[in-house]
Amino acid sequence: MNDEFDLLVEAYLAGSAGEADARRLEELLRNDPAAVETFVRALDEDVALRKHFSFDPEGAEPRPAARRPSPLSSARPIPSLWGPLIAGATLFMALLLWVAVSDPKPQGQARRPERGRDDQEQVRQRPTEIEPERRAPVEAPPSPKEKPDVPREDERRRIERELQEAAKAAPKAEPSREPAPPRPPPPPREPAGTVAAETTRTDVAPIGVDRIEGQAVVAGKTPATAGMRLGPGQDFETVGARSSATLSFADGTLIDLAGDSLIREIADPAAARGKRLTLARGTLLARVVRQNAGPMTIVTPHGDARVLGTTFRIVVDSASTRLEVVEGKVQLKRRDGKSVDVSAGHGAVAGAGIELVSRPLPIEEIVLLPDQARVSGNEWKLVKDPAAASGVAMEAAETAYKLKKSGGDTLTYDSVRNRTAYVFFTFMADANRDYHVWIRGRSMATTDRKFHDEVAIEPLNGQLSQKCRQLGGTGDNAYCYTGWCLYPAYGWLGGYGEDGASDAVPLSIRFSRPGLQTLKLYAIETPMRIDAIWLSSTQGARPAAEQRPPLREGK
Amino acid sequence: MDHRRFLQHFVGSERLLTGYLLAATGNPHEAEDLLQEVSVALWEGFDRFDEKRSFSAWALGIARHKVIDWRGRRGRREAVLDLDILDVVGRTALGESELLAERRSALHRCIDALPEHLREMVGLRYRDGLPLEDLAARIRRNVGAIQMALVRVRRSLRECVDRRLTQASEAGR
Repeated sequence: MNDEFDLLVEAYLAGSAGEADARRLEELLRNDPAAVETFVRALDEDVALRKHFSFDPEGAEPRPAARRPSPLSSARPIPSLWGPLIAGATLFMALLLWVAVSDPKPQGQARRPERGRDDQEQVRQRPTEIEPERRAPVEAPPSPKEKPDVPREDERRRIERELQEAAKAAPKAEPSREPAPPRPPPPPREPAGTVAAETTRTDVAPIGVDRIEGQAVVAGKTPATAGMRLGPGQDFETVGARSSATLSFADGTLIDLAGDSLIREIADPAAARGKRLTLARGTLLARVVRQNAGPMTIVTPHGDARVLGTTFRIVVDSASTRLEVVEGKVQLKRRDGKSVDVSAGHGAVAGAGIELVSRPLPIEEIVLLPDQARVSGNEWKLVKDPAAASGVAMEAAETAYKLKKSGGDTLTYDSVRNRTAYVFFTFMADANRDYHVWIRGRSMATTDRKFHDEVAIEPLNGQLSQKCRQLGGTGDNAYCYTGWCLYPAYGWLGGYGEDGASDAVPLSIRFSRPGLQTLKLYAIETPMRIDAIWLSSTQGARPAAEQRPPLREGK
Repeated sequence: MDHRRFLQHFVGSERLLTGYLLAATGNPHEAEDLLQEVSVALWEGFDRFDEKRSFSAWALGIARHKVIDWRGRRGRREAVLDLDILDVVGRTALGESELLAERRSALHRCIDALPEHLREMVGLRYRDGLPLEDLAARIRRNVGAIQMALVRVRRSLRECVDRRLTQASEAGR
């Protein structure tokens, strides 16, 4: 391309083109397909440049690839999506069985970002079944030709990061240590409670005990110790609500047992039908690598969870089994033969007298961290900060925003609506749910901190529970947070808390429609750093300053 | 609705959409705002999306409607490209999406390899969002010179990307 074309493109993309420039550019594009291709590349470069510099300010290090796996593999795009979802679920559940399974997609394919190829490369998710009957595996092992993972670009956006972090939560595929040739049927199980650790060989002692906190026993009486191995047919129990343990299969599958949990009938992993164990009661969290030898089966009192390559959780109580799907699609089949397909973000309950339907899972906790932030304008940047909840903070060192005095000490503010410098977050939330909004931040000023400690937030489609006094006359749907001067370092505020009390009833947002939401963050009084925004339907009281936001899944 | 599947699709198409909206508005801030509108519309319409079809193509169709709405709201603005040209741009971007993805990966390494003074200038333009006039004032050059300098940076980045892709291709043979 010639100088004229390139200059026109440069001016157009910078917003500096006049009408004549636009017409001339149009003419060149209309008459030359090569010019269109160059223009398309310039557009893509422009977007990439903006992201590159937005997310690499002040030496903030590129995030490690492990936190940025591909959307296609992640169990967590959902991560801020799933983080809240999971945090909320965790708060609710007395009994939680969380079976996290490796992605059924071949790893290389799954972890490759391939933005722009989403359509061609969309991996159709196949239902995994939860049912009493056993079925042959439906997923093929990965092809050796598949490409290895590629390094992640460090400018990905919040949603992508969530997706990537989800993938981080998903275990990496490892070569199966299980022998390929067909094996004879597994030996009959020993009666539950048999202690066989002393006599088991590695291939028949499928689970190692990696960690025990509190007390755990084997076969109901023998104290368990870290380092021991559990053989087929054995029971393992954590004793007391505060006890916990981590068990591991030879292929890298990890199982965390919470307190008062009992697993039994651990089956030989080399058996043709794959790993199998029973969760009789309690909470189980599993990170299961891809099962090449067949699905892993987790038996519950209400059915079997057959794990091939989706990520889901099951909550077992005396009356029902609740399925919550984190990734992919799962079929839940009741003992009476009725079944329902449940896709990601949805759940279903199997139990007598309970309608078997798939419903969206509630999103109760939403944690917005700097790595999800998208920066517009030149006031905000990401900075490394060891004191920040995630090691990175959003910093506004100065702002062009001007406060106006309206008499006495009262300040009134200009509208934030037309400001071009802000941070914005995109996330999932429920409609008609009151989310208390807690912001964790700190004033970076060393003097007069009272005048250097304020930000404002503005939801796109959310109704605020309170009106901001200073912005009241502007018509903005925004609210000011101030009062960080009261904290020596990072601390939480629920609104206008400069007097240390006014935010005791925190600001709440109620979104008018479910799904994707947007929240903007503006600098009002600087220098300020913000390291977390927590939208919570449960946290009604101001968190202690040192309290970290709930962890997102995979963190 | 399936949040996860939606986000998988959306992430894969986000760059394409942003580029398209940038072409439609000629203004990065307007493009970002429109992207928000488009993303909400996509989410709301995701139930109607047929997964046998291309999500990107579907998303571009919705983005096109949003662009029309946006132009209607703002009144006639002449310094933007006509819709028929935008359609060509959108189709071309769809067709080149695989190539563009490959180029992006190389582009980031090339940006890091820019000489410091050029990196600083590009940073002022893209990190700080300075208009060309402000950028020119900041580094005490006239707007034309800045424009030309940015053109040259872009060309050198393209050459760097081409070189890296060629090397990668040869290494893979």
